[in-house]
Amino acid sequence: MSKIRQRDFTFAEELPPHADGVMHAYIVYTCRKDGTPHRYAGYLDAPDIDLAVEYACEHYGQDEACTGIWVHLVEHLHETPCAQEHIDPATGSDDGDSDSEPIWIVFTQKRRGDIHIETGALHAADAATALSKAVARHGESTVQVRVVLRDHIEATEPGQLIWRTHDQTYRLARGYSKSVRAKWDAVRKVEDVDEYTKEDIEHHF
Amino acid sequence: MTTMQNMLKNPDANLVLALADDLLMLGHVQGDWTGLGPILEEDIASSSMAQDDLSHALVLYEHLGAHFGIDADVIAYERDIADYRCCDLVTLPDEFDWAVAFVRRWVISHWAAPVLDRLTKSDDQDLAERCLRLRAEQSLHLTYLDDWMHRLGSGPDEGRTRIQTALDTIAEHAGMVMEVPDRDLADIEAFCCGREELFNEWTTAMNVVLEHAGFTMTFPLPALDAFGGRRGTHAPHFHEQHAEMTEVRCADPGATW
Amino acid sequence: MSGAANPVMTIDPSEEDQDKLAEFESRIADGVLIEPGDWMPQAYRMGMLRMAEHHANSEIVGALPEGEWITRAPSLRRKLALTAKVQDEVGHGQMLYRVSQDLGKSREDMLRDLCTGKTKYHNCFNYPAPSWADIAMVQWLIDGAAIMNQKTLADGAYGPYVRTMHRINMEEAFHFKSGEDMVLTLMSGTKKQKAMTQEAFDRWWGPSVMFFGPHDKPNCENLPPMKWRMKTESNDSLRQRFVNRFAPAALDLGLVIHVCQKDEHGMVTSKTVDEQCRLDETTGNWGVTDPDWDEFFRVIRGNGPCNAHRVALRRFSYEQGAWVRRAIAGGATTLPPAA
Repeated sequence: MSKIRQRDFTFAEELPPHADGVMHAYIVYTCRKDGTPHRYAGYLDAPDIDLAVEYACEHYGQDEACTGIWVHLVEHLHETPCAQEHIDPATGSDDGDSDSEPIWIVFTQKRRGDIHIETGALHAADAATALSKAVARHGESTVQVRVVLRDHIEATEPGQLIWRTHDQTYRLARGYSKSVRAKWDAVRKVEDVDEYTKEDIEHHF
Repeated sequence: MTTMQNMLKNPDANLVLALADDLLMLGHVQGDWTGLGPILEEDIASSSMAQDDLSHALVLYEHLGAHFGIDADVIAYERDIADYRCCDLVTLPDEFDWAVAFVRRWVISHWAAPVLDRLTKSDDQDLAERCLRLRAEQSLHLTYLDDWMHRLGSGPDEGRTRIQTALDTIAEHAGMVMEVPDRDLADIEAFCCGREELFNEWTTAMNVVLEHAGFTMTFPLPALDAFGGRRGTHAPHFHEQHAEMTEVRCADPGATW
Repeated sequence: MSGAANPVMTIDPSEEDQDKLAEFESRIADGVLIEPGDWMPQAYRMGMLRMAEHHANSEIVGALPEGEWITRAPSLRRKLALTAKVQDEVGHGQMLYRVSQDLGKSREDMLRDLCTGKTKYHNCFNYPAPSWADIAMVQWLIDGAAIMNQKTLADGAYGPYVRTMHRINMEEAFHFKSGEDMVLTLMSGTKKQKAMTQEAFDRWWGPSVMFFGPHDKPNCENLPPMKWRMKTESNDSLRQRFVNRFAPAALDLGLVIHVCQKDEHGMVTSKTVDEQCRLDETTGNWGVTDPDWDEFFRVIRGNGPCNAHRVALRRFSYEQGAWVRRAIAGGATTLPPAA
């Protein structure tokens, strides 16, 4: 193993103090294919949004094919309380859009525990109005609606390379599934392998 | 003559090997940092780049492998030590100093870019196409690493001092990145007639970033005769890294892993 | 990988607002998921925080034993896969620390508590991985166990943890397949490879059976961790499913299941064939010799083969990285344009 990892370590009694400075929490969304909605991918911590986008590309952008990434500060999120059953769209109000007002991106959550997915965009003067409009327009069959000012979202450039073009199957289950199955079949009865693979993860990158 | 010797006697193949071996060993030493980086997010990004470097080495070995009839892993793992064409800088020990590891990678990434640019103009269509894709992905690394260099440069003195110290250390070894992998290659345009031009392009691109960030690094272009790792006279630290890299595979020759 | 609930977690709900608690429990019983804005018992918040933190710690420390082999992987594809796998662990740690951060503890505090031994991580990472075949075993057995556990955790009640678990499981699918591929390749390889694999299996079978934690308390279904769907299946039930799945697979592969004695370095000193490991035709369950629970608690208390080294390497990394965190944490407001 590498020498560093083998080393014997000695330490001062106390840990050195906390780092100074501030990290912020960002929410990351990925788009699998141009023209499809951005989907919640996860969080990360970064000192500013530019580095947050770079980090997001190298982490969430490498899980599966990815053509675009959005990132925004957690604090820039405005959301309805998460409903027990479903949101009632009638609790929102929609008095139309004015192009002079800023653009808000709407994300909705279909069921508790689900991820939030980009559902549309609208114009509104402020967050409360944006949320109310979003509820009226997109609240049907959802448990939660979120809005984020578009200017608060940092996005990768259209056409920017994120997902790599060289062979990525080494890091995906599908890069192994067939050969693994064939190797099992060579040493076990088919019905035993079938039984054994029932516990496999169904959904994977 | 074996297929391996055929490849090693081929001047063009040696040019490709120089880059591929650099990327292999860079991916090897940087990959070792996975799980040990200073910030979780940085650790992940750094590991993605290490995987790219290893993948890019593989893409180049596969090109050579197809041409000379050798398995890519055999090229990567089973050559005699003197037949590796990497420069000594890629395996320069970082002693777990993140600044050295960072600068080492930054210098090699800046080197890979103009070399790949030249290889995209190769008459060998397959090689040119492969290098075009590699170039685009190495650009991602450059953007990321240059951004970090700026950040570190505009950060507190402590970090600035560490990076400048690392730059000074690396500068002692950086010139030999320009070592010609084979003295007989003196007439190969990309490496020799264009050698000064390549050196200038590489160092100018680095200096633009360093200047913005408030750092300096200077080193001369070594003489054409200077020899080291690329011609097989590797520093002891390469021998150690190579032994480690091949330990499992060579423990049971001929086995499938 | 990993992420069994902290095995020594005890929760006292008597301090809570009883009306709200009743409503909370009835929602959980109805299968409703809890989202961060909802009322939740303080004990639930603390319990989820500790569980997510323990899980995150396990990912971060779990990156260490396998990380030792990145530089030695025997082919480029294996080297890439192992690097990606260890990287995934770091990513899982990052995502799980965020779940805990939102429940009230800073990442810095969690990393510091991990370095000083104040908080724990999964026991199995205190065992050594002295050969390449150990990497295959970790990815097959330990990741296999982790997936079985995490699938049940993804069926839990806390929304942010459930979402994270879904994403983590998608990546675990690759880890497990890669592990199977390595084990299958080694067991169809040379004599030396097979011997190496049997030795690694001997080292990891015990920790795998212990993976799910000690035997359950009586009535565990009605105690908070399960009642509140922080976990959804008992340790013993998960363990039985694990043995039913992996014991026959190991035997068909040509491996022998042993009961092993180990020295203080985690190396096997003597072994006998596990006579209990056979199919009980009436129950359909595979038997297994009960692991040495004294060892389990000895390791949890910090006296396993690798505890000191794992924590020291984490601390070394944390201390070495401090200046980088200081260097960029200020934000980059005065950046010149990138070249």
